[in-house]
Amino acid sequence: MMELKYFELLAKNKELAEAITGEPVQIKILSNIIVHQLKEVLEYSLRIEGIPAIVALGNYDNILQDAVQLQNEKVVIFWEISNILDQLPYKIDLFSDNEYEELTSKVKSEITLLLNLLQEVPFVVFNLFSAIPFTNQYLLPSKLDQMASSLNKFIRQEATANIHLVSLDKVYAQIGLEQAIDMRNYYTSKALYKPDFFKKYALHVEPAFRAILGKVKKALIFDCDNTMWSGVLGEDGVEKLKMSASEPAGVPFSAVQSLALQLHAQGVLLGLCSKNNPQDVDDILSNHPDMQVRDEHLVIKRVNWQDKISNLREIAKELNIGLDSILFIDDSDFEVNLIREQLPEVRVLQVPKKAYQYPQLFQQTVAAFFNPYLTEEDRNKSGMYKQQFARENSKNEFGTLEDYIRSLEIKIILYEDAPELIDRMVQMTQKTNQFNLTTRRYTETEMRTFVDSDAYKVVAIGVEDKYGDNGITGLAILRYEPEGVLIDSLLMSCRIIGRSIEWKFLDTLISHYSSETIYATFKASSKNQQVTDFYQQAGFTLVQEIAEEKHYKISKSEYKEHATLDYIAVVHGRASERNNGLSV
Amino acid sequence: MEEQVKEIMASVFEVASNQITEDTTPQSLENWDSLRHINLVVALEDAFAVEFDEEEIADMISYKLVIHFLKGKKSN
Repeated sequence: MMELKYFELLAKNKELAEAITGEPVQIKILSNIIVHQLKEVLEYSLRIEGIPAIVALGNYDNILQDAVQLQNEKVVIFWEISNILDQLPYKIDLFSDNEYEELTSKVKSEITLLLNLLQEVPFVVFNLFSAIPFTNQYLLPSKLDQMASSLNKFIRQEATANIHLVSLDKVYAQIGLEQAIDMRNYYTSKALYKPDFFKKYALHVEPAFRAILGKVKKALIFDCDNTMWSGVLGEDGVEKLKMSASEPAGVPFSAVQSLALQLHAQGVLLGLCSKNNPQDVDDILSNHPDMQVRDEHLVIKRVNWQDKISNLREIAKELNIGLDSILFIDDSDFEVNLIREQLPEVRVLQVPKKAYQYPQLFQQTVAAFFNPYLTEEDRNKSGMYKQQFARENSKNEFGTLEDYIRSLEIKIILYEDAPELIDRMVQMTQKTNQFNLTTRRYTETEMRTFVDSDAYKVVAIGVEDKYGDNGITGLAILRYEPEGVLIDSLLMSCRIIGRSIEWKFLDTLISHYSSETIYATFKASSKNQQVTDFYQQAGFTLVQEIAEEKHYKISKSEYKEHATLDYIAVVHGRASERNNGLSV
Repeated sequence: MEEQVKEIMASVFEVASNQITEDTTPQSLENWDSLRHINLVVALEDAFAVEFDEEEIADMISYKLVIHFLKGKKSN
């Protein structure tokens, strides 16, 4: 998969989607950065293994909110430490101890809440935090490193058995940071990773999905010559065979034998399928001092001069497993190609021509076909107790998302007709797609007219909570007509959606800025489905529907404020006092 | 090169390749949104072994401009 170009992967993924059948496996990615390319890459990596995966992306920076709304999906979590606060890697070393502690404990309580919300999800891939992309040059751990390790320690303590922890550092190590990270797209679009990273990552987590879906192999069958040992028994003779760790040529084979025994210990069935004289091989199994795999480890032996196709068929029959449960290892081009052609259900691995690559390939590839999570699960038995403990604990802390949001001390700051904010307000009308009721794009000149005119009121909002400033993230343009006030535009940046700020903003528009009758419009675009019923939900009456526009109205006395949102404060601000250089 | 660009755009934007024409822009093609724009850039860089800078990426907002910037890269 690594050699596949990104556009080729997109095309192949589409082909696979049409070819593959079966109950779809729904996977949802929750993230606080943009990782949208992972969708196709992960789908592809699972689909080529016969898993009809459908991957969906959560909203940007809405991990907790999306976790509440999970249906039946498996979950992947990309929680990027550098974006838990804007510009964190560059600011964290300026933090006081107090600020550092406060932020760390905030994230910890979010982790607790998230793990709570994920309790019923059968399978979660949770990436451990990594500071490596931002701190690779330091000899001493930076504060970001410290925070990452402290959070990881916490996650390891709290994670229940359904949470599969993944180290991104291993992925970075395998492809190198330069291939993994794209700072250009990170600064412009919060898209931190390159396609190569996603490909490697998908390869890294795909076996875990396979295991959880029961798509694992059961038997590992070896050829003998140049597979269990270096050399050809029938030609070189037994004394020339090498499989000892004390001889350079033997090292890779010694390593593979150890790894095979490890799989045996986990319950994998080991066997032989080789063209050799059976008594010669038996002799080695019983008497060769360097052999680690012995007769007692082998559940089946097909050592004869029969073709390997028949032998493998018989092995499957005798073990009473499907051919698709067999992984076969051989060194010969001829045998490997023959089996791939004649028995495509059998997975074949070819021993690399350079033998030193063999153990690594074995570890990365072969082991992944079996259930490498067996020991993990055993280890996780203690996790059950922890799960119980976490439940008890969270009752005292944040039981629900609402409790959590309450604790954030959210504040909406209103900026009326602020000329200082014209650039930002224009940008918001141009760029906001999802939470945008009318999607009217305005130029700077138009915006200036609205700001200056008495017939209009332009209200921008900033959102703060006890952990920081989210910047100017919402906008309403109101037009005053003799018959009432018209909400010309209402939009909010997606990064603050999911905290009921939108309702509080609407409450405020109506209580602070409206005359007796309020008119509002929803205009459908290709991207704003999420707000289709916004005004309806707020109690407005639909008065007219023309093409893609719905026109609503309500009287001020009829409108019911969202009384439960009393925990969101609303204050007036001055735009000229903003911009201390720290906010967005 | 033009044909390959059209193919790449079609697979990135998930449309049939005959939907990509000389006049394709984000306005004419609904699926050409800001996220898929990043995918397009990444796919082109991967396919043609080039690297665009931020301004070029921001300006690459029509089929013709894509070809223009790509040719500029290739001739350097």
